[in-house]
Amino acid sequence: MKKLLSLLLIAAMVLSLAACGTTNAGNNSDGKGIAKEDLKIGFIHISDPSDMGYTYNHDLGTWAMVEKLGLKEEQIINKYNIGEDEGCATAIDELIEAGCQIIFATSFGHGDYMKEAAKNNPSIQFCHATGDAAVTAELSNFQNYFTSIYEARYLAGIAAGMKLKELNETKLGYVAAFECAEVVSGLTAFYLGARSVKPDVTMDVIYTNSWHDPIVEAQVAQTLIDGGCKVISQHSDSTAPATTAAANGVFQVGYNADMIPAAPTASLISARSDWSIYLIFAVESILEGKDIPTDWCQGLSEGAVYLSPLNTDIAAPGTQEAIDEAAKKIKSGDLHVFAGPLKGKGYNWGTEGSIEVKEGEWFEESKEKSAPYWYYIIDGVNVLGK
Amino acid sequence: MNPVNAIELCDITKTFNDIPANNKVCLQIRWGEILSLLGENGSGKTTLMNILAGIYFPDSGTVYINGNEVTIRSPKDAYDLGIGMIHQHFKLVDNMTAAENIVLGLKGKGRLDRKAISAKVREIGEKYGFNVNPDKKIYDMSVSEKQTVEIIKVLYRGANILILDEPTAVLTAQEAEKLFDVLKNMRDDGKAIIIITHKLQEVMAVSDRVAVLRKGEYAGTVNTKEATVQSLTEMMVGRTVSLNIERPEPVDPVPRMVVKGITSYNEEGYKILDNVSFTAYGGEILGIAGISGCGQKELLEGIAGIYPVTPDSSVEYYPDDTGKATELVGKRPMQIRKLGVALSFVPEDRLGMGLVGSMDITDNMMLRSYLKGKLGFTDRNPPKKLAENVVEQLNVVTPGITTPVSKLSGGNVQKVLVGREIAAAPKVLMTAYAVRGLDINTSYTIYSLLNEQKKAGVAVIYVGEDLDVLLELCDRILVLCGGKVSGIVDGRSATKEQIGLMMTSLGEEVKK
Amino acid sequence: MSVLKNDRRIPFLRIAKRAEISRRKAWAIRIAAILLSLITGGLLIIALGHNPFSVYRDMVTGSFSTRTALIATAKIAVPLLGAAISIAPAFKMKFWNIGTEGQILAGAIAASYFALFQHENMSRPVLLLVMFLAAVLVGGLWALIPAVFKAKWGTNETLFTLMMNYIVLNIVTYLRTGPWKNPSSSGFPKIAMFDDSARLPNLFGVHIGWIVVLGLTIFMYIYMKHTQHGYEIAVVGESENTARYVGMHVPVIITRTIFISGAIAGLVGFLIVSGSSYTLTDNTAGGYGFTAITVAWLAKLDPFAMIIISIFLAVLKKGSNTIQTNFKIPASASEVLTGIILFFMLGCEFFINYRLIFRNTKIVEVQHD
Repeated sequence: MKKLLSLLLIAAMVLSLAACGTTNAGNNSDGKGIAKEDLKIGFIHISDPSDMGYTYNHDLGTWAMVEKLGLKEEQIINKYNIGEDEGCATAIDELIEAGCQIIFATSFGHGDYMKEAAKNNPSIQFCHATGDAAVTAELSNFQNYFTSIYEARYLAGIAAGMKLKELNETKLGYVAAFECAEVVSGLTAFYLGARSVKPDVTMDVIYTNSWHDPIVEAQVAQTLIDGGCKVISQHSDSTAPATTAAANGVFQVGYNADMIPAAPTASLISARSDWSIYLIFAVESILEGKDIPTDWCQGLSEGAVYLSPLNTDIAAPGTQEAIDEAAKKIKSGDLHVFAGPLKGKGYNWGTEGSIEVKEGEWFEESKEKSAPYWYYIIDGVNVLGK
Repeated sequence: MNPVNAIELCDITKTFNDIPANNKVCLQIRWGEILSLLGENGSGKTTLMNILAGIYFPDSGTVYINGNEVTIRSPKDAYDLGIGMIHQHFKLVDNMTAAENIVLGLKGKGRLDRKAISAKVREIGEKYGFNVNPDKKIYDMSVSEKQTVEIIKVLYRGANILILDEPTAVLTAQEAEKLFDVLKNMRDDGKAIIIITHKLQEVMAVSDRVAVLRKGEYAGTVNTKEATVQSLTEMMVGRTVSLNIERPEPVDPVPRMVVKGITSYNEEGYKILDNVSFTAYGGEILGIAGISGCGQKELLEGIAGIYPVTPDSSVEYYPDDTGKATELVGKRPMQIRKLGVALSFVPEDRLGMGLVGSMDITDNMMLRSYLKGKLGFTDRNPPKKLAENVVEQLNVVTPGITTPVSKLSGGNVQKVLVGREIAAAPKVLMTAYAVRGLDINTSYTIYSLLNEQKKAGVAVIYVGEDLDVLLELCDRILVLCGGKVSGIVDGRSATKEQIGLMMTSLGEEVKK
Repeated sequence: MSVLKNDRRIPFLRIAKRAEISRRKAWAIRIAAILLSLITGGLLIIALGHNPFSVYRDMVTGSFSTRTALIATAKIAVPLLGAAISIAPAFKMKFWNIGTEGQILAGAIAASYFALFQHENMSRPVLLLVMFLAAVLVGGLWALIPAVFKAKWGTNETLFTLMMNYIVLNIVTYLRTGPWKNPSSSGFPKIAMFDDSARLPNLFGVHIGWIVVLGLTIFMYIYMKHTQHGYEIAVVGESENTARYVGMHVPVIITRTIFISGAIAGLVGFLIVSGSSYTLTDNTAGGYGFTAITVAWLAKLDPFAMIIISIFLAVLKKGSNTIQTNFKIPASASEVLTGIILFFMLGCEFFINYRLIFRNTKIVEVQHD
């Protein structure tokens, strides 16, 4: 009896799979645009907004976009906690099935699945943040976007450098997610910002090998602090480094979110992206039937990156002035973040070799493609545990 | 001053699955007496005693202790009422000392006063004639010492009523004698003692009165002085039974198995079998006697290829009268069977070795023949037929052949095992403690099954512990002592005393 | 005389083992347990500020209502069932193999090697066949290590197989961050996607692994019930002494059975990487090896019952993803919810095996000896 029942169940499952057939509603956006009320937008997030970090920040952009364009909340479908594995493919399929005409994914590791889906669903737009595969994919519906966060990192680095100067210390620490270009570019910009106001600064870097792992982030932060780092920063999604800094009486520079509420005695300032700029642009484009550029990257000048308010209670005097001045120069083009003289060692993920940027020259970040491609470790930055 | 009756049970009924294990049982135990509780397997003795010990709760009926009506809800209640039960399986922690085991679970002050405990244990020992060292670890103890610890444990807790479940099953005759002396001392001290036993000889020797249960019902109580073995058996079984074991003369005995110099070492490297030699003849029953643990188990398992023996040991098997022999030593049981050796073996541990408890009768019949199916599959038809035959011919009481054998009573388990081994048409049949724990009826069934095999020309080897039975059943008796053969005697002329002496010392010394 | 402190109360509550229980009654208990779990889970949902009915509805519809949802549920159920099937013979033998997770990964690594580095040298059928064989072999060999130790030296297989999981998981991390890192991912530690030729074809939208696993289910049923090997496994599991008594070669049976168990787990690893994830990640085994223990246990090692339980657990997993999205319930809370449901399901087995006797209950008790 039990066996018969289970066989029937299998049969039912198989039949229902078959019966569903291919009922993929084709949504076309070829040049004609979409009525605003028909629009559905899907998001693939690596975690959920309770991380108070990356996903929280990107989610803020989503709702700013919704408000700006006058969309309804139901038109947004968020898939939270989607890992960089086959679960991503399933989430994309479900968004397609739900009728999304445009799908955003926020984490680097989602890229492979986004690319596959773009190939199989030419009528749907796939926009992938932080990725770098669109330029070589030759798919009209697969784009990459990112912000020039390195500019904000540089400015945040100034706050860190000023604080070190005030403390008469020289060592920075950096909790870094992965040894990849996005992270290396950001940490270098941060270091260069600090060095611009405190020339003898050095920086220790430890990788956590995870975008979001509060426990490891706290451990790594503690290791850095124990090693003598007086100001730490991070490329990781939680506030654990901030609270660890606070517990140890040292200072911290945040990323993605204002971390002062989490650590009022430690967090100086945070570098943030305003994703709504791109989201508004991309969604407007498909509403109007316009093409979305394969790579999109904007920064300080356009307001796509900015700094959270400075924690004036603990910041060194003159910090705000120094940041404002540097920001002005970046916007005007007088200051380049990756300006020579710079000497960097390349890493071993394919492109071997080192780089040298001469005095008076500069390295153009995020111009060829939106994702950062500075992946050199310069003198003064020490990667620990390698 | 005190009422005469220590315990009075009135109309105790306890039902399992709608089958009454005890049906309106009434029983009285007096202070200062030893009462034997007698009954066949499944007659409800253990259930009744478990009710007293607080393990089961009766469906109905009343319990009076010392004249007061009481409710026993748990073993703790039983202790508080002064009832202590010594189970067949000891419940001791191996790596603790006797004293530690005795106080285990007792409430007391934070610190153990080992000296005071040891002193009290010694005092109890001296009072009743025990020999016990309170500081000895359990794993260093013999079975009888362990039992002593169990008894002291309940006395230490102030028990006035002691229940012993088959206390002599694991003891040698001498140890049993000693136990009886202790029990008598306790009786003289005014305690009430109940012993559950199958051995009628012991009942006659030790008890003051005998209460008999039959199929869950109370069959009566008699004074031991007025009873005989025959009368007690009739009370138990409910009809007249013959207590004589048949012993036909061996017909044309031919050598079937010649064992030469079997030697074996156990895991600790201790010599457990030392140069054992004998010949088993077809058409006779060869008994093997000895104190338990003298190498009986290893001898049979060594012959069967399960226990390792030294390479210079030899077991020759003669399938027919042509004189051609097959050597069994150095071969595994599967190889032995493939050579066509018709050797059957009823091991001591029925459910742990001879059968698989959780499997049904059919699957247990298949144990010997599961490789007979084609293409790696099993064929359940022949074992199913065999199961049906065994159940029918040996009157196995079971709901059906799909019942797991662990659900059967001990006697029926043994019938299934013996039935399977006999069905293999053996030329040599080895049995180890074939009637241990079985009631009189089943025991006699087993004896007659063995006799049938003997008449059919099978060489039967019977390892037993009851010397009376060995002397009645066997043609010859081999006596083992410490892994050595101390002699082979004629079953018809030997005496119990002679064998008892040989069991404790080697043959040559006996002659001196 | 000892003190007679005794009140006349019958114990308020007693626990007794049941001998047998009718099928209908057992299922009634199970259904009651599921209802209770839904009520308890409902309280949690209300505490989170949602309507339990709509949350439960979405859990089910999120797993079944659409083609994509069905495919996604099947994609979870297939490896789960496969892993449970791999556990069945080991557990039947009372070899507590909790290393299925690692054996899946070991098989997945072996298959991935050929998919990543040898795909250009072989045609698609040959490549898939080689991946299959490599996964089966490596999964089996990985499981064989603790089996040999157990058979030869009597080591504890539970701890041994558990620890082996972490070894192989760290091998994957090493490969991902080191030698197998995708050179074109800007340093992001990720293994490349498989070439199309290393991917399993689909049937009804799900990779053909589902047919393989269903076939395995039938195979395992026959293997356990009707073959000499299956009989030997059952005997060894119940009593090694009995196995030796009838002349079974116990070490051979242990190692052979565990090799089969590991080989099936390895096969599951191949199905996951080649059929659904198309790459190797730390998450490839995805807890299937552990969840499969629950499946095997609830199914009482019956392969056909495992089908239903795997589907049920797949629905729970898929449903928990759905409600995270639909109701913004945090991942941790939805895991608590599935945990509650599982707890009741496993817990109800206690009430199937035992019964509670309250004071004044009419007693129909069962003997246990």
